[in-house]
Amino acid sequence: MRRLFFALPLALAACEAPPQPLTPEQSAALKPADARLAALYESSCKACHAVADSGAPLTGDRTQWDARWAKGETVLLQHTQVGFAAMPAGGQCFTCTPADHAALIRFMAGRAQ
Amino acid sequence: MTTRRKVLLGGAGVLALGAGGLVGRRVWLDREPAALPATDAQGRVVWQNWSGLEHSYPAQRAAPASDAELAELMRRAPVPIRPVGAGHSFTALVPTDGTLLSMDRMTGLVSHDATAMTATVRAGTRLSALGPALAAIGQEMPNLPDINKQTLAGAMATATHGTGKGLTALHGEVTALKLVTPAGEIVQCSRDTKPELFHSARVGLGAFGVLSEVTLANKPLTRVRKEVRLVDTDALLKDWPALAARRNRRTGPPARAGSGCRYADEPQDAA
Repeated sequence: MRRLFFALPLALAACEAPPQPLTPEQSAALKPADARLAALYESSCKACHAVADSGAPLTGDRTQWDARWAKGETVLLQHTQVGFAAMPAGGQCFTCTPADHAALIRFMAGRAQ
Repeated sequence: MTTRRKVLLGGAGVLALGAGGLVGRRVWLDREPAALPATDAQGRVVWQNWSGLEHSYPAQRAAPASDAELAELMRRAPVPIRPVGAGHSFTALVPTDGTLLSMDRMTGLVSHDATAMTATVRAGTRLSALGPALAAIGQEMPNLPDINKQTLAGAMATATHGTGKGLTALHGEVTALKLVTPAGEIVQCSRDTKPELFHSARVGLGAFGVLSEVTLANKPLTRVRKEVRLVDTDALLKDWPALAARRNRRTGPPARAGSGCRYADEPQDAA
């Protein structure tokens, strides 16, 4: 029974399909379920995160996000607030609260909000 | 012989150290500046412009959704109130300890006149969204900058321009404005109504209040063919007089030594 208890999560993890890359069109079609968050996303993050040539990881594309997500949400939030590489501070969302930024990062990284 | 060899080796060592020192100095001088703290001692989150040259920790951030909300905010919000668009300007117009005002909720087309070929749009509309909105009504702006992240209000307030012979900057194609003044008054102005205010506020740097709506003088939607070519520098310079005479030709920094990028945006048939 104990073996089954430990083996089951491993078996389920093995069943999980590896992430597949998204096309820019598939990425651009995604938006947060929450209307207010969706408006913030549309007026800021989307300008770069739905454009393949921008260099920003495409929204929802876990092949581009998983390595970033592994850094931890705290690190990603701080990068967003103070800017990181080509991304300007605040990610162009000047009315976002820290909670808004955290929710937008989770959405773009393909994690449940 | 041994002494000569030692001298040569010593000299090479000194040269290597000198070269290494120069490289190290360059690396040190070109290093990225340390990131600012995300929050200050009062827990206020940092704002920075796109270049990172300007920053502040505003006490309040506001995004009104209507003229009435904007007017109320102008009367009550902590001062100084500084409107921000996309933060693309290098100028120190935005940093504030008071209220950072975003127009991100005042966007989109208000109305248009197909005969006069004008369109009134909310001033927080991003240029990237403005083009498709105008295309949907058969119009286009006569000129645009090469970056489309800015808000219309921010681009106008900082005299954003494009490139092209005989083309004006964005504020040159404006026929009317709606402003909300620091006293919370909503004011309409144009070339005929309050012309002094109109001409001053077109590149207002935020000093005359907050732009709420802008009426643009557009032109019929056309199809444009964009061509980007890598050309030899000598050939580029030889063609320069002819290129300079064309309205939509420009050049960019060389992609490699001895070459330059030549861009051509040629109007084609009607869309």
